[in-house]
Amino acid sequence: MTDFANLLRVLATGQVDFILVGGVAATIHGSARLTQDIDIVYSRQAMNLDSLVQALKPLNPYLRDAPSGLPFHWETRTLEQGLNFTLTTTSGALDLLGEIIGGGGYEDLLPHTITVTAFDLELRCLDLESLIRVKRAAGRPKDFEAIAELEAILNQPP
Amino acid sequence: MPTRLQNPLERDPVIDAFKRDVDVSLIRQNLQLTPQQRLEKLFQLQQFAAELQRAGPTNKPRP
Repeated sequence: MTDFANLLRVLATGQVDFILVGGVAATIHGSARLTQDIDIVYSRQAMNLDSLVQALKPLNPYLRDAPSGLPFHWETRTLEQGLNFTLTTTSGALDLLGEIIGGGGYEDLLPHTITVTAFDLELRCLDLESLIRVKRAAGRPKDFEAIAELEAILNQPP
Repeated sequence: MPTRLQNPLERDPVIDAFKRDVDVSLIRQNLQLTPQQRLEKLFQLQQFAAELQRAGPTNKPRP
């Protein structure tokens, strides 16, 4: 069952420091494109890794596309030893990104965020120009249409 | 990792070519919504897409 509102709630109420990037951030800025997962850049501070582990534990996070039975332990040590994790949870797909191309990590991105209120939560989201920049930096042909749309949003009158 | 977020946003002819196909009417509609309403709309679309995917295999072509 996909329940992205719950996923956002779990992260925000779990005191996890994260920034929405990717398709959900694009939606917040007005994109009409459909996205199937939530992409977040998370702070790599030790305390935040603990918060992330505790917050997501009830949602049974597991590596997406990994063969079932693969030993995967959702714990702080696992996060310490990796950087980016594509997860499936009982509330939907979640990509945890320690860094993104062209943008860096949580602390680098923080000055380039906006705060939006949704579902009674304060959510940090990459600002529109920065979202365009990181998507351009990634250089993936599949993003060209999305970038064009984001630039069209940027050019809309206020 | 060095950040390039300070760089000015320059025009990209490839992206400009893709802009011709952007449905600006959908964008204008979305910009009239609050961020929460935009997310709710996305979540509804996701549910709809998931429902269609589930329905797909049961619908076989007619003989």
